[in-house]
Amino acid sequence: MVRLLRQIWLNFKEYIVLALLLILSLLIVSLNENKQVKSFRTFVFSTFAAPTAFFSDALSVSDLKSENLKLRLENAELMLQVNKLREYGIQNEELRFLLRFRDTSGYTLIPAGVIAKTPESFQSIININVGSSEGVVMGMPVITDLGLVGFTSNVTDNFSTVKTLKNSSVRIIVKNQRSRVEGILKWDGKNLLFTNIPKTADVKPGDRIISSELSSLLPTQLPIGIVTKLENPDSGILNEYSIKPFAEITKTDYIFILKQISGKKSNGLELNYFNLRQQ
Amino acid sequence: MKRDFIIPAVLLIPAIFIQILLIPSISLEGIFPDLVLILVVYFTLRTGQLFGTIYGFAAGFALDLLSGGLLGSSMFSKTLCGFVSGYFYNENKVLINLKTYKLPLIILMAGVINSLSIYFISGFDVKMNMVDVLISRGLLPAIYSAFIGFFAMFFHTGRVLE
Repeated sequence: MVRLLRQIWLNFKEYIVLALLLILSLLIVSLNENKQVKSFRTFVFSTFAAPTAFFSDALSVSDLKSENLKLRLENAELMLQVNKLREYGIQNEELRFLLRFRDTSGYTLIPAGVIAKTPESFQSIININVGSSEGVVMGMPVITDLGLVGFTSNVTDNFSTVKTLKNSSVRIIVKNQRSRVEGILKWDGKNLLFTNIPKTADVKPGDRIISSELSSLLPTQLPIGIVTKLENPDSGILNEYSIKPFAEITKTDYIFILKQISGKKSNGLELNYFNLRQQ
Repeated sequence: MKRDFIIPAVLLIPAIFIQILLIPSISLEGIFPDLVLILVVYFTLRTGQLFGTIYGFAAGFALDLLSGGLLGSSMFSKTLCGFVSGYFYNENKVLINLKTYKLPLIILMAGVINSLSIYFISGFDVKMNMVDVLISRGLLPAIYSAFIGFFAMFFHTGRVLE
Protein backbone atom coordinates (compact mmCIF):
# COMPACT_ATOMS: atom_id res chain seq x y z
CA MET A 1 0.00 0.00 0.00
CA VAL A 2 2.77 2.37 0.95
CA ARG A 3 4.61 1.43 -2.18
CA LEU A 4 1.53 2.15 -4.26
CA LEU A 5 1.07 5.55 -2.64
CA ARG A 6 4.73 6.31 -3.14
CA GLN A 7 4.42 5.35 -6.79
CA ILE A 8 1.36 7.55 -7.25
CA TRP A 9 3.17 10.42 -5.56
CA LEU A 10 6.28 10.06 -7.74
CA ASN A 11 4.25 9.91 -10.94
CA PHE A 12 1.64 12.54 -10.17
CA LYS A 13 3.11 14.83 -7.54
CA GLU A 14 2.74 17.96 -9.69
CA TYR A 15 -0.96 17.26 -10.27
CA ILE A 16 -1.58 16.41 -6.62
CA VAL A 17 0.12 19.61 -5.46
CA LEU A 18 -1.77 21.64 -8.09
CA ALA A 19 -5.13 20.21 -7.02
CA LEU A 20 -4.41 20.81 -3.33
CA LEU A 21 -3.26 24.40 -3.89
CA LEU A 22 -6.21 25.25 -6.16
CA ILE A 23 -8.68 23.83 -3.63
CA LEU A 24 -6.95 25.82 -0.89
CA SER A 25 -7.15 29.00 -3.01
CA LEU A 26 -10.87 28.53 -3.66
CA LEU A 27 -11.43 27.84 0.04
CA ILE A 28 -9.67 31.08 0.93
CA VAL A 29 -11.77 32.97 -1.64
CA SER A 30 -14.92 31.68 0.06
CA LEU A 31 -13.56 32.72 3.50
CA ASN A 32 -12.87 36.34 2.53
CA GLU A 33 -15.64 37.64 4.80
CA ASN A 34 -14.51 35.53 7.76
CA LYS A 35 -13.58 37.59 10.84
CA GLN A 36 -10.17 35.95 11.44
CA VAL A 37 -9.20 36.26 7.78
CA LYS A 38 -10.17 39.95 7.81
CA SER A 39 -8.12 40.57 10.98
CA PHE A 40 -5.11 38.85 9.45
CA ARG A 41 -5.41 40.91 6.28
CA THR A 42 -5.73 44.11 8.30
CA PHE A 43 -2.61 43.19 10.29
CA VAL A 44 -0.52 42.47 7.15
CA PHE A 45 -1.86 45.57 5.43
CA SER A 46 -0.98 47.82 8.37
CA THR A 47 2.55 46.34 8.52
CA PHE A 48 3.32 46.97 4.86
CA ALA A 49 1.37 50.17 4.33
CA ALA A 50 4.04 52.37 5.99
CA PRO A 51 6.90 51.49 3.57
CA THR A 52 4.42 51.67 0.70
CA ALA A 53 3.45 55.18 1.77
CA PHE A 54 7.11 56.18 2.02
CA PHE A 55 7.89 55.07 -1.53
CA SER A 56 4.68 56.54 -2.86
CA ASP A 57 5.56 59.95 -1.39
CA ALA A 58 9.09 59.76 -2.79
CA LEU A 59 7.79 58.94 -6.27
CA SER A 60 5.13 61.65 -6.35
CA VAL A 61 7.56 64.56 -5.75
CA SER A 62 7.94 65.25 -9.48
CA ASP A 63 4.18 65.63 -9.91
CA LEU A 64 3.86 68.17 -7.11
CA LYS A 65 4.79 71.26 -9.15
CA SER A 66 2.26 70.69 -11.92
CA GLU A 67 -0.34 69.58 -9.38
CA ASN A 68 0.30 72.83 -7.46
CA LEU A 69 -0.24 74.97 -10.54
CA LYS A 70 -3.41 73.13 -11.47
CA LEU A 71 -4.76 73.50 -7.94
CA ARG A 72 -4.02 77.24 -7.84
CA LEU A 73 -6.02 77.67 -11.03
CA GLU A 74 -8.88 75.61 -9.66
CA ASN A 75 -8.73 77.63 -6.45
CA ALA A 76 -9.16 80.86 -8.34
CA GLU A 77 -12.16 79.51 -10.25
CA LEU A 78 -13.69 78.13 -7.09
CA MET A 79 -13.22 81.43 -5.28
CA LEU A 80 -15.41 83.12 -7.87
CA GLN A 81 -18.03 80.40 -7.56
CA VAL A 82 -17.94 80.50 -3.76
CA ASN A 83 -18.63 84.21 -3.77
CA LYS A 84 -21.69 83.65 -5.87
CA LEU A 85 -22.82 80.73 -3.73
CA ARG A 86 -22.32 82.78 -0.58
CA GLU A 87 -24.99 85.13 -1.83
CA TYR A 88 -27.32 82.24 -2.58
CA GLY A 89 -26.52 80.76 0.84
CA ILE A 90 -27.61 83.93 2.60
CA GLN A 91 -30.88 83.95 0.67
CA ASN A 92 -31.29 80.24 1.39
CA GLU A 93 -30.82 80.77 5.15
CA GLU A 94 -33.47 83.43 5.19
CA LEU A 95 -35.93 81.27 3.27
CA ARG A 96 -35.19 78.20 5.45
CA PHE A 97 -35.77 80.22 8.56
CA LEU A 98 -39.09 81.30 7.16
CA LEU A 99 -40.04 77.71 6.32
CA ARG A 100 -38.47 76.23 9.52
CA PHE A 101 -36.25 73.69 7.65
CA ARG A 102 -33.49 71.87 9.56
CA ASP A 103 -29.88 72.41 8.44
CA THR A 104 -28.60 69.13 7.02
CA SER A 105 -25.16 70.29 5.85
CA GLY A 106 -21.91 70.50 7.80
CA TYR A 107 -20.00 67.33 6.96
CA THR A 108 -16.40 66.93 8.04
CA LEU A 109 -13.93 66.03 5.32
CA ILE A 110 -10.70 64.14 6.07
CA PRO A 111 -8.06 64.68 3.34
CA ALA A 112 -5.93 61.68 2.37
CA GLY A 113 -3.30 60.67 -0.15
CA VAL A 114 -3.45 57.53 -2.30
CA ILE A 115 -0.40 55.37 -1.61
CA ALA A 116 -1.12 52.31 -3.73
CA LYS A 117 -3.62 51.01 -6.26
CA THR A 118 -4.63 47.44 -7.06
CA PRO A 119 -4.19 46.89 -10.78
CA GLU A 120 -7.20 44.58 -11.23
CA SER A 121 -10.12 45.36 -13.49
CA PHE A 122 -12.87 43.86 -11.34
CA GLN A 123 -11.66 44.55 -7.80
CA SER A 124 -10.33 48.09 -8.01
CA ILE A 125 -9.00 49.01 -4.56
CA ILE A 126 -6.86 51.93 -3.49
CA ASN A 127 -4.83 52.27 -0.29
CA ILE A 128 -4.82 55.62 1.53
CA ASN A 129 -2.71 57.10 4.31
CA VAL A 130 -5.38 57.82 6.92
CA GLY A 131 -6.98 55.42 9.37
CA SER A 132 -8.85 55.09 12.63
CA SER A 133 -6.54 57.55 14.40
CA GLU A 134 -8.08 60.29 12.21
CA GLY A 135 -11.59 59.04 12.84
CA VAL A 136 -11.98 56.85 9.75
CA VAL A 137 -14.20 53.79 10.08
CA MET A 138 -15.40 51.18 7.60
CA GLY A 139 -18.16 52.27 5.26
CA MET A 140 -17.36 55.99 4.98
CA PRO A 141 -17.83 57.56 1.53
CA VAL A 142 -14.67 58.66 -0.25
CA ILE A 143 -14.88 61.61 -2.64
CA THR A 144 -12.76 64.01 -4.68
CA ASP A 145 -13.64 67.56 -5.61
CA LEU A 146 -15.42 66.08 -8.64
CA GLY A 147 -17.52 63.29 -7.18
CA LEU A 148 -17.80 59.96 -5.41
CA VAL A 149 -14.84 57.57 -5.61
CA GLY A 150 -15.86 54.70 -3.32
CA PHE A 151 -16.10 53.54 0.30
CA THR A 152 -13.58 52.67 3.00
CA SER A 153 -13.32 48.95 3.72
CA ASN A 154 -10.34 47.75 5.83
CA VAL A 155 -9.21 50.35 8.36
CA THR A 156 -6.06 50.26 10.51
CA ASP A 157 -4.63 52.93 12.81
CA ASN A 158 -2.94 54.97 10.06
CA PHE A 159 -4.00 53.43 6.75
CA SER A 160 -7.15 52.24 5.04
CA THR A 161 -8.27 50.48 1.88
CA VAL A 162 -10.99 51.94 -0.30
CA LYS A 163 -13.27 49.90 -2.57
CA THR A 164 -13.82 52.17 -5.54
CA LEU A 165 -16.90 52.38 -7.77
CA LYS A 166 -14.92 50.21 -10.24
CA ASN A 167 -15.23 47.24 -7.91
CA SER A 168 -17.79 44.56 -8.74
CA SER A 169 -18.80 44.21 -5.07
CA VAL A 170 -19.86 47.88 -4.77
CA ARG A 171 -23.51 48.59 -5.60
CA ILE A 172 -25.37 51.74 -4.65
CA ILE A 173 -28.77 53.26 -5.30
CA VAL A 174 -28.46 56.33 -7.52
CA LYS A 175 -30.82 58.57 -9.41
CA ASN A 176 -31.07 60.75 -12.48
CA GLN A 177 -30.90 64.32 -11.21
CA ARG A 178 -33.16 65.64 -13.98
CA SER A 179 -35.94 63.03 -14.18
CA ARG A 180 -35.50 61.61 -10.61
CA VAL A 181 -35.48 58.04 -12.00
CA GLU A 182 -33.73 55.70 -9.57
CA GLY A 183 -31.60 52.68 -10.30
CA ILE A 184 -28.59 50.65 -9.18
CA LEU A 185 -25.02 51.66 -9.96
CA LYS A 186 -22.63 48.76 -10.54
CA TRP A 187 -19.36 47.91 -12.27
CA ASP A 188 -19.34 45.11 -14.85
CA GLY A 189 -15.61 44.91 -15.36
CA LYS A 190 -15.61 47.36 -18.26
CA ASN A 191 -18.29 50.02 -17.69
CA LEU A 192 -19.97 51.74 -14.79
CA LEU A 193 -23.65 50.95 -15.32
CA PHE A 194 -26.90 52.59 -14.24
CA THR A 195 -29.14 49.52 -14.20
CA ASN A 196 -32.67 48.31 -13.39
CA ILE A 197 -34.21 51.20 -15.31
CA PRO A 198 -37.67 50.60 -16.80
CA LYS A 199 -37.75 50.91 -20.56
CA THR A 200 -40.32 53.71 -20.27
CA ALA A 201 -38.16 55.79 -17.88
CA ASP A 202 -36.93 59.19 -18.97
CA VAL A 203 -33.14 58.85 -19.12
CA LYS A 204 -31.01 60.47 -21.82
CA PRO A 205 -27.29 60.71 -22.59
CA GLY A 206 -25.93 63.75 -20.81
CA ASP A 207 -28.11 63.36 -17.71
CA ARG A 208 -26.34 63.78 -14.37
CA ILE A 209 -26.39 60.79 -12.02
CA ILE A 210 -26.21 61.48 -8.29
CA SER A 211 -26.54 59.32 -5.19
CA SER A 212 -30.08 58.69 -3.99
CA GLU A 213 -31.61 59.47 -0.59
CA LEU A 214 -32.67 55.81 -0.52
CA SER A 215 -29.02 54.71 -0.31
CA SER A 216 -28.07 53.56 3.17
CA LEU A 217 -24.38 54.05 2.35
CA LEU A 218 -24.35 57.74 1.46
CA PRO A 219 -25.42 60.60 3.69
CA THR A 220 -26.01 63.20 1.00
CA GLN A 221 -26.56 63.52 -2.70
CA LEU A 222 -23.10 63.15 -4.21
CA PRO A 223 -22.35 63.55 -7.92
CA ILE A 224 -21.50 60.23 -9.56
CA GLY A 225 -21.24 60.79 -13.33
CA ILE A 226 -22.87 61.47 -16.67
CA VAL A 227 -25.00 59.07 -18.72
CA THR A 228 -23.12 58.28 -21.95
CA LYS A 229 -25.22 55.72 -23.76
CA LEU A 230 -27.88 53.03 -23.58
CA GLU A 231 -26.17 49.63 -23.48
CA ASN A 232 -28.97 47.23 -24.39
CA PRO A 233 -31.59 49.03 -26.50
CA ASP A 234 -33.16 45.94 -27.96
CA SER A 235 -33.03 43.31 -25.22
CA GLY A 236 -34.54 42.67 -21.79
CA ILE A 237 -37.31 44.45 -19.93
CA LEU A 238 -35.01 46.83 -18.08
CA ASN A 239 -32.45 49.25 -19.47
CA GLU A 240 -28.80 49.66 -18.61
CA TYR A 241 -26.94 52.92 -19.23
CA SER A 242 -23.20 53.34 -19.13
CA ILE A 243 -21.95 56.15 -16.92
CA LYS A 244 -18.81 58.22 -17.25
CA PRO A 245 -17.80 59.00 -13.65
CA PHE A 246 -16.89 62.58 -12.72
CA ALA A 247 -14.02 61.48 -10.50
CA GLU A 248 -10.97 59.96 -12.22
CA ILE A 249 -11.23 56.89 -10.04
CA THR A 250 -8.06 55.04 -11.02
CA LYS A 251 -5.93 58.15 -11.63
CA THR A 252 -6.74 60.16 -8.54
CA ASP A 253 -3.91 60.78 -6.06
CA TYR A 254 -5.71 62.79 -3.38
CA ILE A 255 -9.13 62.11 -1.91
CA PHE A 256 -11.40 63.19 0.94
CA ILE A 257 -13.32 60.98 3.34
CA LEU A 258 -16.79 62.09 4.36
CA LYS A 259 -16.72 61.63 8.11
CA GLN A 260 -20.18 60.18 8.48
CA ILE A 261 -21.96 56.89 8.08
CA SER A 262 -25.57 57.35 6.89
CA GLY A 263 -26.73 54.05 8.39
CA LYS A 264 -25.98 55.14 11.96
CA LYS A 265 -27.93 58.40 11.50
CA SER A 266 -31.05 56.64 10.24
CA ASN A 267 -30.57 53.80 12.77
CA GLY A 268 -30.56 56.42 15.52
CA LEU A 269 -33.84 57.84 14.20
CA GLU A 270 -35.49 54.41 14.13
CA LEU A 271 -34.25 53.69 17.66
CA ASN A 272 -35.75 56.98 18.86
CA TYR A 273 -39.05 56.06 17.22
CA PHE A 274 -39.19 52.67 18.97
CA ASN A 275 -38.17 54.24 22.27
CA LEU A 276 -40.97 56.79 21.95
CA ARG A 277 -43.53 54.08 21.19
CA GLN A 278 -42.52 52.12 24.27
CA GLN A 279 -42.95 55.16 26.56
CA MET B 1 20.50 24.73 -4.61
CA LYS B 2 19.61 27.16 -1.81
CA ARG B 3 20.06 30.04 -4.29
CA ASP B 4 17.18 28.57 -6.33
CA PHE B 5 14.86 29.25 -3.40
CA ILE B 6 16.33 32.40 -1.86
CA ILE B 7 16.53 34.55 -5.00
CA PRO B 8 12.86 34.03 -6.01
CA ALA B 9 11.74 34.79 -2.45
CA VAL B 10 13.90 37.90 -2.20
CA LEU B 11 12.76 39.27 -5.58
CA LEU B 12 9.07 38.72 -4.87
CA ILE B 13 8.41 41.55 -2.37
CA PRO B 14 10.09 44.33 -4.43
CA ALA B 15 8.22 43.06 -7.48
CA ILE B 16 4.91 43.36 -5.62
CA PHE B 17 5.76 46.87 -4.43
CA ILE B 18 6.63 47.91 -7.99
CA GLN B 19 3.41 46.28 -9.20
CA ILE B 20 1.18 48.29 -6.85
CA LEU B 21 3.17 51.55 -6.81
CA LEU B 22 4.60 52.05 -10.30
CA ILE B 23 2.75 49.79 -12.71
CA PRO B 24 -0.57 51.73 -12.53
CA SER B 25 1.27 54.79 -13.90
CA ILE B 26 2.30 52.90 -17.08
CA SER B 27 -1.14 51.45 -17.74
CA LEU B 28 -2.73 51.94 -21.17
CA GLU B 29 -6.52 52.32 -21.05
CA GLY B 30 -6.64 50.23 -17.87
CA ILE B 31 -4.37 47.48 -19.25
CA PHE B 32 -1.47 46.62 -16.91
CA PRO B 33 1.49 44.28 -17.25
CA ASP B 34 1.90 41.76 -14.43
CA LEU B 35 5.43 41.70 -12.98
CA VAL B 36 4.61 38.94 -10.51
CA LEU B 37 3.44 36.74 -13.37
CA ILE B 38 6.71 37.34 -15.23
CA LEU B 39 8.61 36.36 -12.10
CA VAL B 40 6.57 33.16 -11.66
CA VAL B 41 7.07 32.11 -15.28
CA TYR B 42 10.77 32.94 -15.20
CA PHE B 43 11.53 30.92 -12.09
CA THR B 44 9.32 28.04 -13.22
CA LEU B 45 11.30 27.74 -16.43
CA ARG B 46 14.48 27.87 -14.42
CA THR B 47 13.60 25.43 -11.68
CA GLY B 48 10.72 23.18 -12.65
CA GLN B 49 6.97 22.62 -12.63
CA LEU B 50 6.57 21.63 -8.98
CA PHE B 51 8.57 24.62 -7.76
CA GLY B 52 6.70 26.88 -10.17
CA THR B 53 3.31 25.73 -8.91
CA ILE B 54 4.22 26.32 -5.27
CA TYR B 55 6.00 29.60 -6.07
CA GLY B 56 2.93 30.79 -8.00
CA PHE B 57 0.76 29.98 -4.99
CA ALA B 58 3.07 31.89 -2.61
CA ALA B 59 3.44 34.83 -5.00
CA GLY B 60 -0.32 35.07 -5.49
CA PHE B 61 -0.88 34.92 -1.74
CA ALA B 62 1.63 37.73 -1.09
CA LEU B 63 0.15 39.82 -3.91
CA ASP B 64 -3.40 39.43 -2.58
CA LEU B 65 -2.33 40.32 0.96
CA LEU B 66 -0.28 43.38 0.05
CA SER B 67 -2.57 44.79 -2.63
CA GLY B 68 -5.79 44.40 -0.65
CA GLY B 69 -7.53 42.56 -3.47
CA LEU B 70 -9.80 39.51 -3.15
CA LEU B 71 -7.73 37.03 -1.12
CA GLY B 72 -7.37 33.84 -3.13
CA SER B 73 -7.89 35.24 -6.64
CA SER B 74 -4.22 35.78 -7.46
CA MET B 75 -3.32 32.63 -5.51
CA PHE B 76 -5.53 30.62 -7.83
CA SER B 77 -4.39 32.25 -11.05
CA LYS B 78 -0.65 32.32 -10.32
CA THR B 79 -0.71 28.66 -9.15
CA LEU B 80 -2.28 27.72 -12.45
CA CYS B 81 0.23 29.84 -14.39
CA GLY B 82 3.16 28.26 -12.58
CA PHE B 83 1.82 24.79 -13.34
CA VAL B 84 1.12 25.44 -17.02
CA SER B 85 4.49 27.19 -17.55
CA GLY B 86 6.12 24.16 -15.98
CA TYR B 87 5.16 22.08 -19.02
CA PHE B 88 7.80 24.03 -20.96
CA TYR B 89 10.50 23.31 -18.41
CA ASN B 90 13.35 21.14 -19.57
CA GLU B 91 16.56 20.96 -17.56
CA ASN B 92 18.55 20.71 -20.78
CA LYS B 93 16.82 23.68 -22.38
CA VAL B 94 16.72 26.22 -19.57
CA LEU B 95 18.87 28.72 -21.45
CA ILE B 96 16.91 28.28 -24.65
CA ASN B 97 13.66 28.96 -22.81
CA LEU B 98 15.00 31.95 -20.88
CA LYS B 99 17.12 33.73 -23.44
CA THR B 100 15.13 33.41 -26.65
CA TYR B 101 11.73 34.45 -28.00
CA LYS B 102 10.22 31.50 -26.09
CA LEU B 103 10.16 33.41 -22.82
CA PRO B 104 7.80 36.20 -24.02
CA LEU B 105 5.61 33.59 -25.76
CA ILE B 106 5.27 31.52 -22.59
CA ILE B 107 4.57 34.70 -20.61
CA LEU B 108 1.88 35.56 -23.17
CA MET B 109 0.21 32.19 -22.75
CA ALA B 110 0.47 32.32 -18.97
CA GLY B 111 -0.85 35.89 -19.03
CA VAL B 112 -4.01 34.84 -20.87
CA ILE B 113 -4.59 32.04 -18.35
CA ASN B 114 -3.88 34.45 -15.47
CA SER B 115 -6.32 37.13 -16.68
CA LEU B 116 -9.10 34.69 -17.53
CA SER B 117 -8.85 32.82 -14.23
CA ILE B 118 -8.92 36.09 -12.26
CA TYR B 119 -12.01 37.08 -14.27
CA PHE B 120 -13.81 33.87 -13.38
CA ILE B 121 -12.86 34.05 -9.72
CA SER B 122 -13.36 37.73 -8.92
CA GLY B 123 -15.68 38.86 -11.71
CA PHE B 124 -18.03 35.95 -11.25
CA ASP B 125 -21.35 37.78 -11.41
CA VAL B 126 -20.49 40.26 -14.13
CA LYS B 127 -22.00 40.13 -17.59
CA MET B 128 -19.52 40.53 -20.40
CA ASN B 129 -19.31 39.38 -23.96
CA MET B 130 -16.98 36.33 -24.07
CA VAL B 131 -14.97 37.63 -27.03
CA ASP B 132 -14.60 40.95 -25.24
CA VAL B 133 -13.35 39.11 -22.14
CA LEU B 134 -10.86 37.08 -24.17
CA ILE B 135 -9.46 40.09 -25.95
CA SER B 136 -9.65 43.03 -23.55
CA ARG B 137 -9.27 41.12 -20.27
CA GLY B 138 -7.22 38.14 -21.46
CA LEU B 139 -5.05 38.88 -24.45
CA LEU B 140 -4.18 42.57 -24.09
CA PRO B 141 -2.78 42.41 -20.53
CA ALA B 142 -0.90 39.26 -21.56
CA ILE B 143 0.63 41.02 -24.58
CA TYR B 144 1.72 43.91 -22.36
CA SER B 145 3.24 41.47 -19.83
CA ALA B 146 5.00 39.59 -22.64
CA PHE B 147 6.43 42.87 -23.92
CA ILE B 148 7.85 43.66 -20.47
CA GLY B 149 8.95 40.02 -20.13
CA PHE B 150 10.96 40.42 -23.33
CA PHE B 151 13.48 42.44 -21.30
CA ALA B 152 13.71 39.65 -18.71
CA MET B 153 15.60 37.64 -21.34
CA PHE B 154 18.64 39.81 -20.68
CA PHE B 155 18.71 39.13 -16.96
CA HIS B 156 19.72 35.52 -17.15
CA THR B 157 23.50 34.93 -17.36
CA GLY B 158 24.78 32.36 -19.76
CA ARG B 159 25.03 31.91 -23.49
CA VAL B 160 22.75 30.01 -25.78
CA LEU B 161 24.85 27.62 -27.84
CA GLU B 162 23.57 27.21 -31.39
